[in-house]
Amino acid sequence: MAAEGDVDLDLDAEENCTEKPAEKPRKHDSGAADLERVTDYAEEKEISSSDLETAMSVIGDRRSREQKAKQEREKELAKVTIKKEDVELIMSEMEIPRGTAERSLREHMGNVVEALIALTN
Amino acid sequence: MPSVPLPPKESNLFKRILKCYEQKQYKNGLKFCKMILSNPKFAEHGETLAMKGLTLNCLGKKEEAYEFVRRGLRNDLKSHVCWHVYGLLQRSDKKYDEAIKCYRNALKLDKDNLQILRDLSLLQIQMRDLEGYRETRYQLLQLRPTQRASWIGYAIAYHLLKDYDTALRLLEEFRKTQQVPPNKIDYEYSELLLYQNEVMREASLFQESLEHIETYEKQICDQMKVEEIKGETLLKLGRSEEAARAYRILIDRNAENWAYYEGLERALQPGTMEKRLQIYEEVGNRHPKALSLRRLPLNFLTGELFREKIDKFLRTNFSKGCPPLFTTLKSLYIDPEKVSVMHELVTGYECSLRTCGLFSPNESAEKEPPTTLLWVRYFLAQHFDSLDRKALALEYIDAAIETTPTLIELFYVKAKIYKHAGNLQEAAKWMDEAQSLDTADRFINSKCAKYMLRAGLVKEAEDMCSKFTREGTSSMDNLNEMQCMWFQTECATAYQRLGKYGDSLKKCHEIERHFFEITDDQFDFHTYCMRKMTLRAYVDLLKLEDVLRRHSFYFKAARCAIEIYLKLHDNPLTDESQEQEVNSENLSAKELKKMLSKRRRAQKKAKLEEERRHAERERQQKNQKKRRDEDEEEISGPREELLPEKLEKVENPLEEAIKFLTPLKNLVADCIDTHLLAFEIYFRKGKFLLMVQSVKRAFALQPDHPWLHECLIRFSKAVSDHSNLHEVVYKVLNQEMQKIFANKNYDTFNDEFLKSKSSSIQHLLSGAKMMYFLDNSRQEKAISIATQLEETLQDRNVQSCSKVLEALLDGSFGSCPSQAEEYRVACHRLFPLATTFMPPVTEDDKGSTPRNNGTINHEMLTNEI
Repeated sequence: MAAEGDVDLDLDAEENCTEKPAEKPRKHDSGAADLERVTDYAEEKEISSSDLETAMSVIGDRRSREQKAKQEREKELAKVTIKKEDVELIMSEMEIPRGTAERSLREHMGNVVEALIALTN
Repeated sequence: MPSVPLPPKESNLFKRILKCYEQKQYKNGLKFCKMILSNPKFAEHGETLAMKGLTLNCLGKKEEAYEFVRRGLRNDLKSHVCWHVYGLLQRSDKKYDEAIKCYRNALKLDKDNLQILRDLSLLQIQMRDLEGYRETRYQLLQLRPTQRASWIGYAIAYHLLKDYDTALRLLEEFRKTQQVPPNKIDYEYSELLLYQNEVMREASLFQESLEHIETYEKQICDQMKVEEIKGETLLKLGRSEEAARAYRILIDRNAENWAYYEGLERALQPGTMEKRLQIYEEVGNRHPKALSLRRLPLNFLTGELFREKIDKFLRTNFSKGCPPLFTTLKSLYIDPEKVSVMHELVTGYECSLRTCGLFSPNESAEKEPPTTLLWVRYFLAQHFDSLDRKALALEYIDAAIETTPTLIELFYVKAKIYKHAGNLQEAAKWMDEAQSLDTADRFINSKCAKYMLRAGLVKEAEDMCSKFTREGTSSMDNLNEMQCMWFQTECATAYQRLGKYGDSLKKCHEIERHFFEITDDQFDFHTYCMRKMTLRAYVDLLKLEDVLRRHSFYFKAARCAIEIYLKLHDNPLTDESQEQEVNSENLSAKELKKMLSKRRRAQKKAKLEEERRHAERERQQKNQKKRRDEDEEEISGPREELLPEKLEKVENPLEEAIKFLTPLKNLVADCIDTHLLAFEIYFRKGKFLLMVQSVKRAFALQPDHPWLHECLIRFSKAVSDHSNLHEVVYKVLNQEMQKIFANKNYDTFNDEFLKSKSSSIQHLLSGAKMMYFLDNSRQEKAISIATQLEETLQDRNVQSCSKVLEALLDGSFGSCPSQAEEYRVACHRLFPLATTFMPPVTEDDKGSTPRNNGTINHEMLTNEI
C-alpha cells in the first residue's frame, strides 16, 4: 500500500501534511479549480423559523388528498383480473418488463388485443 | 457482531475521520482510522473499517475499498453507517440501483437520518424517480423545515412532476420567509424570483407572471431577462402596444438578436410587406449599423423591393469583402424567384467588374478595388455549386484562385465543390492545400481532417489532428479523452465504409461512453445548484440531460453501430470468412499459402505493436494515476477496454443494436429513420408486433418514404409466409395492417407505389427492388425501372444514382453485372466528377494522378450546356 508510509506518522505530523507547498497553477486549470469546488462540502443554510408554521400547514392537507386519489386508481386497477399467459405474451412480444406489461393489460381491462394495439402505437 | 460503542477517545477519533472525509483530507482520515484499528480491542470495528474503505476509494484504491467496506458491514450489519458507506461506495462506482438499496437498508435502521435521506434524494433525482424524490424531499422538509434546501427541493419535485400549482405555492411560502429588504439586490433572491416566474410561465399563468415581474423588477439582477419576460407575457396577453415597447427596449439593448425582431413583428402585426419593411426602417434610424436590419427583410420581401434591397446588400458586402456572404444568404435559396434575381445581379456584376471595374457599366461611381471581383467570383462559385452546376462553379473558383493564390477561403470552397460533386479524394486534396496555407489555424485543420475521413484516409486524418493534440499521446486517444465527437463520428463512419467494423464499433462505443459520462456529470450539480440558488439553470440542465441522446452525435453513432450490428448478424465474422475475403479463386495453392503466411506474419507484427502500445498506455495511465493520487482527486475505476477484434465478433449483435436503439425510440421518435432502423432489428428477431409498431410509427411520419415502402412489403410478405403465428398476435397484425394496406395484397401495393412515384429515382429504386424481391422472374423489368435516368426525374443527383448502382452491385436485383456496368457508364457521363461512377482503377494506374482535370471540366461543360 503506497499510503502506508504516511499513515505511520502520528498526529504531530498532521500540519505538514495539510499545508503542502502551494503548487504552481497549471495552464488551463482555472476551470478545473472551479469544478473541484462543486463537490466541496458545505453546511446547509438555515432560514429563520418565524413564518414556518403557516407555511408548513399549506403542505399537509394537499398531500393527503393526492395520495388518496392515487390509491383509489391503484385499487381499481388491482381489481382487474388478468391472465398470466397474456402477460407473458405481451412481455415476450413487446420486450418489456413484467410490471409494464401487467399495467397495460390492467389499463385495458384485461383485453390483450387492445393492450397490444395500444403498445404498438 | 453487535455494534460496540467506542469509548470517548476513539469516538472522538471516529468523528474526525468523518470530518476528514467531508473535507477531502483523505490521508489524515486514514491516519485516524489506523489509530483506532491499531487498538486490538477495536481492530474489527465495523464502522471504522467501512470508513477506511470509503476513504481508500477516494484515493483510487477501489478493490481495497470494497474489501474494507464489505468487511466492515459484515462485522456490523446493524449499523446504518456501514450501510450508508456501502451505498456511497456503490454510488461512486455508478451502480445507482445497488446504492439505492443500500440507502434503503440504512434508513430502515435509522429512519430519520438526514444525511442518508439527502443522499437518497440525490440518487432519485439522478435516476429520475420523481415520485420517490418527492417522497424523500417531503421527509426532509418535515425533519428540517428551517433549511432552505428542504423547501426548494420539495418545490422542484412538484415542478418536475408538472404540478405547477403546488410548486408555486411552496415557492411563494418559501419566498415569504426570505427577509430581503426591498430595493436591495441579492443575487440568490433574484434567482429565486426568476425561477418562480419561470414556473408561472410554464404553467401558462401569464397574467400572474407579468404582475410578479412588475412587482419584483427592482430586486432582479438579470434585467435583460426581466424585459424579455415582459415582452413574452404581454404578447401572450394580447397587449400589443406594450409588447412592442418592450421589444423596442430589447432591440436597443441588442440590435442583432433576431428573436427580438420576431417579437416586435408579432406585436405590431403589419398587414403588408411595405409596413413590415417600415418596422425595420424605423429601427434603422436609431441603429444605422445593425446588420440584422438589412438581412431580415430579405426573407419576406418579394418583387422589385427585393431586387432593390438585395442589390444594395450584395454591393455593400462585395465592396467590403465579406467571406460569409453566401452562408448569410443561403436560406434564401429555397425560393427560386429570389435565386434567379441574385443570379442575374451577381453574374451582371462579374461581367461589368471584369470589363470596367464597376458594378454596372453605366455608373458614374468610383472604381471598385480588385478584391471586389474576387469576392464576386467566390460567391458565384458557391452559387453554382448549390445549383448543382459543378463545372461552372469550378471555373469561377479557379479564376479566383488564379488572381489570389494565397486566400484560404478559395481552396476551402474548391474542396467543398468537389465534395458535393462526389469526388471525396479530390476534395480532401484541396482541403489539405487550404490547410497548408495556415497550419496554425485549427478550424481549417479540423475541416481538413474531416474531409480526409470522408475520403477514407483515417491515418492521414489522425496525423492531421495531431498538430493540435497534446504531444506524447496518440492523437486518437487524446481526441477521445477530450470527447471530440465530430472526429469520432466521422471516424466511425469512415471505418464503416472501409469495412473495418471492429474499429468503427469502437468509436461508436466511445461516443456512447461520452454520453454516459455527460449524464453522470450532472450528479454533483444536484446539491451545488440548490445551494447556489441557480435554479433556472439547474432545471434547464435536468431537462437537457433528459433528452441528451437526441443529439446528432449520438444519433450518428447509434445509426452507424446499428447498421454494423445488422450486417454482423446477417454475415457473422469468423476466422475463415476473413481468409476467404481475398478472392482465393484465381490464386494457385502455392500462392495462397504464401499469401496466408505473409498475412499471419503481418498479424503477428500488428499484435506485437498493439501490445507495445498497450503497455505504453498503461504506463501513462499509471503515471497519471500517480499524479492524481498526489492531488487527492476522486477517480473512478477504468472501464473495460474496447477491443475492435472483440467488438466485431459479438455474440448477439441484435441485442447490442437494441441498446443503441432504445434511447432513439424514446427521444428521436419524430425521425423516421429511428423506426426504420428499429424495423430492421425486429425483422431479424422475428418480433412481429414490434415490427408493426415500427412501421406504424414510421407510416405516421411519412407514409411514402422509400425505405419504409421496402419495409412494408417485406413485412407483409413475412406475415403471409408465417402460418403458425399466435392467434392474438395474428389478430392484432390483421387489424393494424388493414389501416396501412387497406385490403390490397403486396403485389398491387407495390405496383401502385411505383405508379404514383414515377418521378423520383429513390422511390422507383425501392419499388423495383421489391418487384424483384417478390418475383425473381421480373428481374429485367425491375432493373429497367430502377435505372431510369431521364432529365425529368426530380432527384437525378449523385446521391440517388449511387444508391441505384450500389443496389445493382449488392445483389438486390440478383446478378446483373452487365446492366450495372451500363448504368455506371451512363452515370459517369452525367456526373464525370463523382468517383463512384469512374471506371475501376487498375493497379498500375494507382500511382499516377487519376485523371486530368482539364478534360473533365470540358466534358462537364458540354454536358451542362
